[in-house]
Amino acid sequence: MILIGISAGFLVAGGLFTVLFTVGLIPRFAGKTRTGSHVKIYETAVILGSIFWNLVSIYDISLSLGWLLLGLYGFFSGIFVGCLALAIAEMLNGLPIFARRINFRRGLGIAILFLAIGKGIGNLIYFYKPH
Amino acid sequence: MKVRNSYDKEGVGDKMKKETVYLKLEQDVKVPIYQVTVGDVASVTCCDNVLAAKIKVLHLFTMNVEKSKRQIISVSKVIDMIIQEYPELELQSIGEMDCIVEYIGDKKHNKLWDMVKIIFVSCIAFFGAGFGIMTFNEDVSVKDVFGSLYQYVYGREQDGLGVLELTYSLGLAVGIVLFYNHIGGRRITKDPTPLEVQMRVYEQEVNNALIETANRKGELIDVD
Repeated sequence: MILIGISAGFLVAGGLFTVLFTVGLIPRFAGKTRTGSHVKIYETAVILGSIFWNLVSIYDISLSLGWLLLGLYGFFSGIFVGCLALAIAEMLNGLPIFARRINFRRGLGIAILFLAIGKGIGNLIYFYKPH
Repeated sequence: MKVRNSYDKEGVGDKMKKETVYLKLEQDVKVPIYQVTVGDVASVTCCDNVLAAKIKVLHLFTMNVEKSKRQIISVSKVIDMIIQEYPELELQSIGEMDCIVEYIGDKKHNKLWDMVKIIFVSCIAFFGAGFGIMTFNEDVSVKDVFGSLYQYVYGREQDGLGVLELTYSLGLAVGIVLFYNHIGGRRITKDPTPLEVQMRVYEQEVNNALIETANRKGELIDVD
């Protein structure tokens, strides 16, 4: 039983985190904020975050820290997932291919902006749709 | 140390020798001043140290900071500049083809702002990774799987949380730490961590994209 548990944990850690970080989110953030020299801190944050939240999710720990933590969690994981989704789309080269097909030269920035707005609105509709 | 060839009859000195100068262009440099010299963008090596020093202080171009803080220069332009000054030299480029010169100014680094940014990104990493593992656990119903596993092994229903959850969490933790190759500030092996590797790859890609863009827009400083 112990063997199964440890092996499962190992493989999940390896698999999940390779997938999450081959898309290169954290380097991107670090590059954008020009804090590339502090990559180690970010790694530590990833390590702590996954260990901590894994415990929370497996053991159903109740943190009882209220809306503040919830807000923080929502905000930051929202940023993370938003970037992750686009990073994956980018990895598959979806956008450049489309842009090339329709001879798209100008206004890439606007297109991206609308993409973001569209995603945001879609998300809101999904969560707040009247049942 | 001066090596004077015996056939150097004219005695014009080092300048007239057919000397080979090796030029290694950097991929990107950051300069604190507008005036960019050869030494800023490349390392220069030749037999004659004085000549190398002279080449290094040759003025390349002046940054137009109002227009752009970034300027990309091609190695052919650098060679051209040096040849104009020292036509008798033989130049060998052993580095990059293009160099990104970035003006960073002499403004001092805002430590506090950096701190804020680091905390911000750390928060994204912390909660994002947490979100990742939680969605994974929910997605594949880890708890249900554990329940079934328990039943296979013990042949009865699981009462409460058992050893499987504990070891899974432990294995996960060890796996991540091994994957990222460090605990806190301490490295497990000498290799760079995956994020450090990715960081370099990312920087490389950004540099390539910048050079490509400048090339297409014709903003590259080149000979023609």
